[in-house]
Amino acid sequence: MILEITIAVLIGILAGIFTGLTPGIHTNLVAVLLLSISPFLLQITAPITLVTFIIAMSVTHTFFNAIPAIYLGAPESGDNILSVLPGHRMLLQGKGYEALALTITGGIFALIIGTLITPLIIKVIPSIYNYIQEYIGYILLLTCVFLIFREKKRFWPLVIFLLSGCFGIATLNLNIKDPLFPMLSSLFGIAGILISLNDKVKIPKQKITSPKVFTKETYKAISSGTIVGTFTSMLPGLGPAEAAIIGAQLVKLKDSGFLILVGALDTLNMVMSFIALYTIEKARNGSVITISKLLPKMTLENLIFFLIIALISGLISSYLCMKTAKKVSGYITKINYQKLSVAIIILIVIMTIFLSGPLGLFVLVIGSFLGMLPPLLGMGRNHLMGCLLIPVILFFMF
Amino acid sequence: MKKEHLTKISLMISIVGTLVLITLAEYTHPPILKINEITDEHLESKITLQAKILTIRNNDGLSFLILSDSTGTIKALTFDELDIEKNSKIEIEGVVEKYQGEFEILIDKINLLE
Repeated sequence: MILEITIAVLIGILAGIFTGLTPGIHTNLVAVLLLSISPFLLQITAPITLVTFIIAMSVTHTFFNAIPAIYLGAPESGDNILSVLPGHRMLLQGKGYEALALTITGGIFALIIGTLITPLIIKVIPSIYNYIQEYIGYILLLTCVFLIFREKKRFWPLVIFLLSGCFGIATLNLNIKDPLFPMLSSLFGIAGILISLNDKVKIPKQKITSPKVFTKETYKAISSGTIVGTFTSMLPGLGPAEAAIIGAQLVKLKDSGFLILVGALDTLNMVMSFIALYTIEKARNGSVITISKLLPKMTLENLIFFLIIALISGLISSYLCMKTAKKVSGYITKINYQKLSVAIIILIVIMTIFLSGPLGLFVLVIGSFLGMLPPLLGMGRNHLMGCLLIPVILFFMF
Repeated sequence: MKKEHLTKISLMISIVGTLVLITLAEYTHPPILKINEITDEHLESKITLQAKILTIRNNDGLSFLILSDSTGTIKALTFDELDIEKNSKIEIEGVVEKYQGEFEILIDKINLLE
């Protein structure tokens, strides 16, 4: 059994590296594919082995997805400097490796703290959830209003949020398979790459510098991330990006602190989703939905096992991620950035046709144009999450 | 391409494209109905229903459900043993059939809403 679990962890890490490095490919997709072949796999192995694979993959993904997020899709740092994400800003200053090290730091802290506070969270989440579950629609609506009103100019964020909502409702109601794939890959994947291609971005030579880890900024980011991450894990539709914006309001953070916060929330979101499955029996992402199908009744022993697997995978993958980033930092100025971007777009197009058919391709095209609007209009891309938030709010409120 | 042009083009395509998608969704998605809106004209056709599970019983690879919404109750069945709890909110797509004089839905697709 130990050998099977070890192999599952290793294959899971490899799968997580693949999904993390490839923009547009999410662990949800692999989890769904795994579920479809699980009747065959369960003849040769136990459900807990498959669950181990999913956990190792999902946690690894939260570390490795920072590499394309930082090294790809950077817009020109010209007039709209405020709309440039901190990771891209540092990349354009030649500090992509340092930006990645900061998100990894956040991820590791989140894993350790998330595990340590689990006994407390197990007690707290059910009572809070019982209290708020009647008001989930209103809480989400207030969160969206807050995210729009924090912008200095509110007209365009509101337009983008509502337009994304209409786009999301239409896409989710189309009779196509895996509608989330073309919808999210276009809004958050292809759009950024297209902007980068249009800007003809030149990535400067990257310096390998390591940031200071134990600073006041780190503690501020981690404590804010832990509070916000715990709360948002109870709410459907809110992802790490929205949580990061809310978390950055609690404490004033520099670029370095924001990157630690983003890394922490991405990993914490995954850890908290395991805890949410155990405590309130709600599956908040594709990986956890698959786990809930493979293990219909989750026990406390299961949860402890999940956290141990998450810790082991997280520590291994964070080390591998730093090694990979060092290589990427060296190659990024040598490879043809434009050709790499086009190759990724082609890959997503092929995957869309395969998964969702021609209508899915249409969604992908529209979503790519819609996804370009926030950076072009100088605002955060988080407003595009209206595509999921508006349908969820409508469901809970009506 | 200049940013101003790209912004205008993106905005135009996003709005027109979303409108086209909404129209397509109307035609490609089975109609979303309330339970009391199901009539004989829906027999053997596909519909979408959002409802709460009143009871669920798994038996020999089949799941039998009684669903309710604000307008009434209806029976539904699927050729899967479902692992969903009572009182869960679900959205189903399925074919309307009639059994012993009562409507029931043969589920094709089921999504847990909460």
